[in-house]
Amino acid sequence: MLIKLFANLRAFAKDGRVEVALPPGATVRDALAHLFALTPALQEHVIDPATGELLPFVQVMLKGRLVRDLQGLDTPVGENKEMAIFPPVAGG
Amino acid sequence: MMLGGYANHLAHIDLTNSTVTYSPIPEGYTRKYLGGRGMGVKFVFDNGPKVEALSPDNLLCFMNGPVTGSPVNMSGRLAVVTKSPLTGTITDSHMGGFSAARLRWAGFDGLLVKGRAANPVYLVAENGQVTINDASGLWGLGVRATVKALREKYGKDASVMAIGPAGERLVHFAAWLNEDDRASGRGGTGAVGGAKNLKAIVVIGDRKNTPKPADERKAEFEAAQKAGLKLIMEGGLTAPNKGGLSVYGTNVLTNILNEAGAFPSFNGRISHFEQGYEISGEAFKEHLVVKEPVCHACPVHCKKELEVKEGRWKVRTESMEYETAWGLGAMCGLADREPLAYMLDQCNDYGLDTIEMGVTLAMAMEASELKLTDEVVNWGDAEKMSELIRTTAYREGLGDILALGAYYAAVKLGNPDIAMSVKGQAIPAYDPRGVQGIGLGYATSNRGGCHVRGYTIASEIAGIPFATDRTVTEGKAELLKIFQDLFAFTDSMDVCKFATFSEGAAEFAAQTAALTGIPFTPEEAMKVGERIYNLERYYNNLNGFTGKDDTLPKRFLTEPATHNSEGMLSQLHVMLPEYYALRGWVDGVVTEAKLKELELI
Repeated sequence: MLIKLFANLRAFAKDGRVEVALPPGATVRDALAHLFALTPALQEHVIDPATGELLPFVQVMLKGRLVRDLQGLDTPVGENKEMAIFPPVAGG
Repeated sequence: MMLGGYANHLAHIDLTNSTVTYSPIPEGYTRKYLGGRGMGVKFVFDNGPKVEALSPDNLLCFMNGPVTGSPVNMSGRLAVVTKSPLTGTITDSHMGGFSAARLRWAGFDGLLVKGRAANPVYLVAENGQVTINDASGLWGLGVRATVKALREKYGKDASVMAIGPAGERLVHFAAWLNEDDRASGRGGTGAVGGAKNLKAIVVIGDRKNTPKPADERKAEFEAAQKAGLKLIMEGGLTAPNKGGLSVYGTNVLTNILNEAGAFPSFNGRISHFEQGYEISGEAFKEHLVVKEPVCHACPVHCKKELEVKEGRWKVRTESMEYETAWGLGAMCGLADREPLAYMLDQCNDYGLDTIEMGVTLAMAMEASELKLTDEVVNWGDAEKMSELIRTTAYREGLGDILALGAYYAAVKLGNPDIAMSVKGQAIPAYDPRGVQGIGLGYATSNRGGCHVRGYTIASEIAGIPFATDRTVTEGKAELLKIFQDLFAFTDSMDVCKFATFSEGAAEFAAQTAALTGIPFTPEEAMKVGERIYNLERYYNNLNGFTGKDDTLPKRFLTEPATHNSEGMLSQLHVMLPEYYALRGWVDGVVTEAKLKELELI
């Protein structure tokens, strides 16, 4: 799976992109674990160590859907080949 | 009771007769309409809703709110309120930078301009007095040259708001801009200035006149201000130098909306721009951003100044906003940053709204493809776009048609369905098929297509004040009404929208109450917002606007989105009845009962 990082998270990987190999049945949580194994410094910018869940306003997107609107980090990755992670972003 | 915050001083400028008179704020207006947008709307309403937008009789208000120019953070905003030549609705458009603060420090809550000068004029506002001055030497100049000339005359601490050639020629989406390139962009308020032969307003104000609360509320005010600042400094979305808005500016949104497949591209025919990253805040920061300017009392620094150092598109300008990059970029199929920076600068100097300009050019590209134009306008043709921006400002050839804005230009070209507009004003950069609530917001906006009447994106994408699913309709009517009413209040304080990313009605009511002495509770603040929203709607109803106008471009209702929002259409027909029920409106019309409830009749 290709994981795309945006804004200040891009600095944690070349061109903001990381490839991870996931087993069948993997969840978003599993994908993040694989990602952090390759980019350990990224974890504190994405996950709240106290809860193990996403930090406030950090968004993970799977085929355009924010996983917070699905099953959170337990959302199955399924057939999706890409995932995107955004730090808190707003504007307009 | 003497209220804090306010100057309690309005200037009434009659350009036909070259007279200026002054008055305090009318009794009761502060409690009911607060200031800024709300009070401007009331003055424009009182001036008569049937007025022709470009006639001398239209009223053009430059309004401060009670916290403008105070220590309240992000309070550097003023509202330009008038009847719009673009839409025929009431409109208000807000400008940042330091013009608003200086206007308050110069001793004004507002400048109310009416009539038409026999020859071009500019105003000077200083020490509670306004003078009318000859601008014949400035007429024809761009915004930059106008600002430069007037600052040479009045000093570098003078703020200057000006129109450019577009406003002079009554381009229906002409803007007011100031020395920092901050714009009251939307709705064509610059054309109303042009119709009055009003070229510029010079504001000279001393910071020592910063508005203060009464002595007995000093501690309360300081506590309210500090509480707000703490939330901004620690807020996930506003914290300075962390993550999104502060580091990359508003254009940090491009990638997340594009990834969602909710980024209208090629005039909305698709909802994802393959080269989106190239025009995102991240890419501009890496390649072109040279400075991060500020507005009054703002720690966020979201403005991004750009420089193209050499070549065809050599330019230095600010600020590349999300909407600008989208309108001139994705909507037109252009992914080249340097011409985008150049065209932003053109719009700023000619005095044009970049959203309307981008969407109008995208419409022209589709019209050209459909053989509706004599001139060929190809997708992504930067040279042609730049030429059309100039000819629009100067109203030459096809530009004279484009000067009407996307919708009325499309009508003239023979196919209104290719204009991505609501009530005659172009939509902004969120696809209403992929983000359901914002589509309802566009449709029900009182000033035509607009995201900042009710910014449901905050919830549907960013997750504030709580997260909602962008793909569903449930709860969106209620969410939108809350945002619309809250923003009507904050626009009347007048504080930046981005303050609402970290503060809520409780903080805004506390700041306003402590400064003014009017005991606003959060509930009363929301009621003031509701009253303003209904007064705007009533104004529009009196101009013939009804539920038939609360709609979206046909494309978003019938042509499915693509990419990661594939197959989605706006479910406006589901949300609109729920919204009307919550508002107490019948077919988009404010009822007499609602007007009475809100003390509007």
